Amino acid sequence: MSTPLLEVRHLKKIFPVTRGAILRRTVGQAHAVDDVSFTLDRGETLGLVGESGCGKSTVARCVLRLIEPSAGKVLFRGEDLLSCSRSRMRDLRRYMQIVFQDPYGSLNPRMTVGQLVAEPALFHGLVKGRREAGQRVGEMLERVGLSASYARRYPHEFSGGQRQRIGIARALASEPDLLILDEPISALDVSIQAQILNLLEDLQSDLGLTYLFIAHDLSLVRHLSHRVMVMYLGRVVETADRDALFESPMHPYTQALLSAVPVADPRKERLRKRIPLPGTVPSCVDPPVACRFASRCFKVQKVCTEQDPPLEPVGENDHRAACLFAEPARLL
Amino acid sequence: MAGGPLLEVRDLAAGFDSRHGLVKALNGVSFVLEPGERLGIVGESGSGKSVTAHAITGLLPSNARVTGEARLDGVDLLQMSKRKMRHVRGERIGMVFQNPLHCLNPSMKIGAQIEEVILAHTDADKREASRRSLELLDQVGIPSPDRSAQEYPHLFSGGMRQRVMIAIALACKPQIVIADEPTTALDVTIQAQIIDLLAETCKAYGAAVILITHDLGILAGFADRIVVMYAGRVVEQGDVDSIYYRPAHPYTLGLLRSVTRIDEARRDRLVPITGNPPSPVLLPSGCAFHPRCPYTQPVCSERVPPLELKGGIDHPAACHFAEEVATHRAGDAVQ
Repeated sequence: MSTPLLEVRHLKKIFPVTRGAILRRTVGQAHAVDDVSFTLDRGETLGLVGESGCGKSTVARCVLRLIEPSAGKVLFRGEDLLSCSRSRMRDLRRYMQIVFQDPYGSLNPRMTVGQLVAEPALFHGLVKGRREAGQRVGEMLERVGLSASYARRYPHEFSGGQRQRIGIARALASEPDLLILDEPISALDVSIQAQILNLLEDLQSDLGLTYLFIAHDLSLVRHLSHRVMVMYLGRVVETADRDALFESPMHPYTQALLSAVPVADPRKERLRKRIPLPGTVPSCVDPPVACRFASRCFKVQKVCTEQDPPLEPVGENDHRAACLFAEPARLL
Repeated sequence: MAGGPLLEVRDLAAGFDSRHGLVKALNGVSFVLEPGERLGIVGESGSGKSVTAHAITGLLPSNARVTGEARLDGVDLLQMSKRKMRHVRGERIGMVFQNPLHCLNPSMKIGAQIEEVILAHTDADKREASRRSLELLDQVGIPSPDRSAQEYPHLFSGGMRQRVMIAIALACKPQIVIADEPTTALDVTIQAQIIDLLAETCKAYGAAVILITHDLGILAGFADRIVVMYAGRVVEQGDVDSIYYRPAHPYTLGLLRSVTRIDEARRDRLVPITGNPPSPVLLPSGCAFHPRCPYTQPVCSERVPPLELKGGIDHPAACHFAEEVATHRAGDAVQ
């Protein structure tokens, strides 16, 4: 078997919780990401889902070392990123780019679209001089469905969907292998979402890109991903091939999550039953050693509050779930 | 006005004075709301769905120019004095907005904020108001109401704050609750709880609901009737099944085709609506949807199609070619 493009092993990120402005002291540890492992093959899309605060964006930022992980390994093409020097890391980032959620906040308003898109290519020395850069910008803009003439304009002149295209063009400019898509579609209007989804698909098949796709909207994830990983409170609770996850989810949390997503089909919607999720997500500061979902789980038993369930195989094709009572359910 | 609709909106138009001149946000919106009914207004950003809600409740800023009628039990709200309008809001129309943190007073205890509404709009004394507020907190599912009433909004999560907003909206037993994107900022599991709560409590209070959203999924399970808006106009309206299963406007059809569905193994490719929603400053001539419409003909850029009932379609749609759209889509919208 060839090396996967990205391999994450036992990744942990602990943020200290401090109190006091002058005499700062640590009063607890927030386990934002706790022992997350996964692999991502070339050309594959891994969907990372979970509610706010589950650690999905922290995983993405740790992979790029935009924040420093507390423990674990991140292997990119077999090379351990966490032991790389800063300059090596800078070089490697050429191959791993990120597209952010907010197309308004992530583009510098004082730079022209041309400057924005050319910057990564110039930085990594892929183009030299103005002419080459201009040419690259034109190619990239056309690649994402924009006119090359937009290069002279500023981000504020564009709509949300167009800005997201600019963000994608910028990410593509350094010819990356891996694109981390951090909620790239959530802020867009429904009619625009489909355009961007199609664009991402085309880019993947044309350029052989690999995606780590982070989203809270499960229907987008079902559409774009090959494999899906569900996170809850810093942990992976279930991972499976796309259709297996949506058609026979095993973990009670995945089941509750799927049952909460509305379907644009009135007759179906009237017949559906929701699995109630009482309370809210508990704090990840000093979480329990047992199952983290126990406090809200409809299947909870005494043993769940005593024992930490490992992420174990529960089905074909490496379908795994971290639940002592994992059992398939049909919800859609 | 016994037997008439609860709320009747007719030819509602709204514009804003700006440096670009008058920017028209609404161009003649008409719909009715029956007592106890659940109406969904769906549209993308800039379609005018929120402006409609704000115009009806007299909450538009001072640079707004509003014309038309919005009759609540026969009385036109748009002609009402500001003072009377203040009583209508709260007593007869309750409101729930997208961001509860902006709507709750950060320096006032939760209980006191609900009491304030009750004291302002009813004859209840302090003690009665306090008893009512605890009862409301309990009804909207706030754990240990006695204690929660003494807390400040920042201690509550987004979902909990939205529950408090619903309690405030219902405090004076209104006839209508208008919820403007109440769950957009919430996680999907919390969203489901809030929508269910809204449905249950409004039913218990006998209030009609106008739910404004961009999410066709939410409305599928919630609404009795749907109003689809585009560029400041109603393009189609009808009962929920006819809109989802028999859309007659190309925009509605496009929306239904372009949503990704969690309950379906993936289809080959999504069929997006091309282009972008228009800016209200620069509306296309004729039918505002024509530059993005696959059915467009020369007449579409010349004449605005009225919202009317056409042969063979069970609900009104504002399209010159509604019949063609309705027959073409045969089977490929929602199964």
